[in-house]
Amino acid sequence: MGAAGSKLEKALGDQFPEGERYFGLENFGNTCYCNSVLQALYFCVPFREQLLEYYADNKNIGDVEENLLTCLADLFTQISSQKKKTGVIAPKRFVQRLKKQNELFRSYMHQKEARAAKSDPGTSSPSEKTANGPKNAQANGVSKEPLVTWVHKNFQGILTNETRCLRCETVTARDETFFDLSLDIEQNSSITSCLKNFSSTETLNAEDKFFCDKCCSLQEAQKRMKIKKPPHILVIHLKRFKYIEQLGRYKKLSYRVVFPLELKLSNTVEDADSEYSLFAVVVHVGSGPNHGHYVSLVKSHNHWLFFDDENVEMIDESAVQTFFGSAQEYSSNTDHGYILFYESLASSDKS
Amino acid sequence: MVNSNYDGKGTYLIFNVGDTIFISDFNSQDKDPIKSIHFSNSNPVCHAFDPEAKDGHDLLIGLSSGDVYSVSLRQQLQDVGKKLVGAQHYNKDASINNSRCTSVAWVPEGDGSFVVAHADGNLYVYEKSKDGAGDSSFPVIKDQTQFSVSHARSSKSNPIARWHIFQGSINSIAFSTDGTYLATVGRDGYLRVYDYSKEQLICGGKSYYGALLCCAWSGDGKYILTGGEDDLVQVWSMEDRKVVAWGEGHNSWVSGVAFDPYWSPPTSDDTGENVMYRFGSIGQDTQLLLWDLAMDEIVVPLRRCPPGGSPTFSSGSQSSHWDNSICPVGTLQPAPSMRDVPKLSPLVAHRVHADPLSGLIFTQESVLTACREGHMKIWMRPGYSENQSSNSEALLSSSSKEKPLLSSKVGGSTYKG
Ligand SMILES: [Zn+2]
Repeated sequence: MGAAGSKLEKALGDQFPEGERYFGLENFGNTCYCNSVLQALYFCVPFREQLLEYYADNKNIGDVEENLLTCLADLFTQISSQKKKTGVIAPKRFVQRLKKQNELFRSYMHQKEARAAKSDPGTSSPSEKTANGPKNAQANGVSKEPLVTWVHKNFQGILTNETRCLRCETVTARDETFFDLSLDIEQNSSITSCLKNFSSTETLNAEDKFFCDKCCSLQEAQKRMKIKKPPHILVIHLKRFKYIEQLGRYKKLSYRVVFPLELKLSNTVEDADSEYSLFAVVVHVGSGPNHGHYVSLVKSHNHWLFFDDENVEMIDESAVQTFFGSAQEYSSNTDHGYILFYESLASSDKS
Repeated sequence: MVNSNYDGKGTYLIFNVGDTIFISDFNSQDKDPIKSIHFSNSNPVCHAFDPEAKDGHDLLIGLSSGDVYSVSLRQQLQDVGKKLVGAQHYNKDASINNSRCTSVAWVPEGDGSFVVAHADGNLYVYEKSKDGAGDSSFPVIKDQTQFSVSHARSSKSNPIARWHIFQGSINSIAFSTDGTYLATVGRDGYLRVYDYSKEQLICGGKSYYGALLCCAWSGDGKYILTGGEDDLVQVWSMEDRKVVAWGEGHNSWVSGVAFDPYWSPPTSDDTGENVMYRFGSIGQDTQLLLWDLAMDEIVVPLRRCPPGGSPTFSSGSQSSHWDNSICPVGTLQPAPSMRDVPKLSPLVAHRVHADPLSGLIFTQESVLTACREGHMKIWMRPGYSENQSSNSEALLSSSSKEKPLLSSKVGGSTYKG
């Protein structure tokens, strides 16, 4: 591992960013998903800096109860204060805390999609379209902490769910917060197209009518989901694990879904044209949902890095496209982009 | 088979898949490749044919290693081997540039000069008549963010010039028909249009977002099509020096665009005002889209507002340039706002392959599409028969394994002996 570290240092040479640390994370058995998400979060620089600052301010105050976020702050501090520039760290405390506190995190993708699959497609509640990631689960657990506010500041956006009654034309809008967007995917499509489908107009009819308060009865209606407040960090989750009823189990969709390095949201309430830049990708490796491995790609100081538990390597930007997926169902390529992390390029002082 | 009609009038299809270039006789029944040229160390990624070449080499091949070859197509067809014959080798051993070739083009009316674009943002001008030897060093680029042109110090040098466009991959280049202008598109999402002989930036602008992947000129040099990672087909007007329309219809990145040079409007307008264009686009969504562009549709920018929105344009907003006169020569436009650009819808949309598409050519009778796996299909034009029953499909070449980093590009060449 030490050799791998020095290899990375050699590859970066004098371009090794000042003060930056690239550390692999030890795997404690089935924690590669956790490790991959941790790397993505660590390289979400504004979030990292806030946690480091928090840790520095509070390390001597004993009355802060341990929770996932304090463990995360602790881990980030541990990484950033390493003397060496590269190496391996064991995120022991964080993983223990996680296992104790949050089963949801461990199998969060399965639970979430099970919920989506089991509910009647018609009577689906809007929360099905928005998935709350691990951060939300944490946020629920720890209230009133300033840390939680920072999570919100960075990751929280607001969706508005507009329903128009087709009889009286009344539009009912309901807002809800989200921490990531879960998108249905199609073969040979783009994230842009998946986002468009997410916000496409849906007609509620037949078994699935809408109760209009004005008409005081069930009516046909049109429903549409728009982004009211785009988050500073946009996390997009691709629904690659699909419950197939005939099989009675989950199947991995290896579809080729291209994601650009820059993205704009056009499904916003206002024509904000806010621009995002891709900085991390969590990749699922493997052909099925129950076995497999997770790795992550991270952009740091204009270099792309590949994190695979303990190992860290430099990759070329053009290699990102090898994680788009497979244009044909049976393919030897099983490394597929699963969670995308985009950072807003607009100044962050809006919220 | 090789002798079919190489010294009469022939039309050949040239395409690359993996490490091989294939050449097929377009007029043959099965269109099986009659020639394959294998490269051992690197993959051919782009090529260009010069139908106007009076003598000497007419086919350029650019490799992922950065190497470039010029050859005579006729000479390749006469040879039975699987290697290039009689080739001239440029940028040998990456002596001038070690990044991947991305696009090659003959300079129209350029007396055998050609341009090679690379993934590091540089393009080089070569002359086929010149030896590749000679000292070919160029000064260090002082500011990577600035456009600069350097001419070789030695008159024996080939390349004769280096253009530094920007820092990032140039994904595609295209000359206007008469060779006056050179358009480039790249990783930073900008279309740039240069006066080729003056070596000057004329105009250009940014995509909605993401890299631009392809570009093409209208035959009259008035419009440029671009396509890229925002899933949009963009129409750029040379007269207005701005984007005049966005084509919405692809569900993934747009990998190829082309005007149809053989299409003429069904009824000609007496006033001659309403000039129309037909163009096509292909995408990684496996779709071929055909579009019509009518002048009266785009001369006055439509201000389509979203329902509920009000059409107020405060000065100083990004959209204000729509109200003003043309932006000055030599400047690049920022990305337009979604609401400011008139939208086009495709006339025809059709999933033509199982794999992402990589090539599109219009011929007099048909439309050719190619996918990344090296399959090619030939479609009858809509109008010749009903467009859905249209396919005199011909599948060319056996498919290779999935290699996402490869693009198979196709070049059609009318070869007059
Ligand atoms: Zn009603």
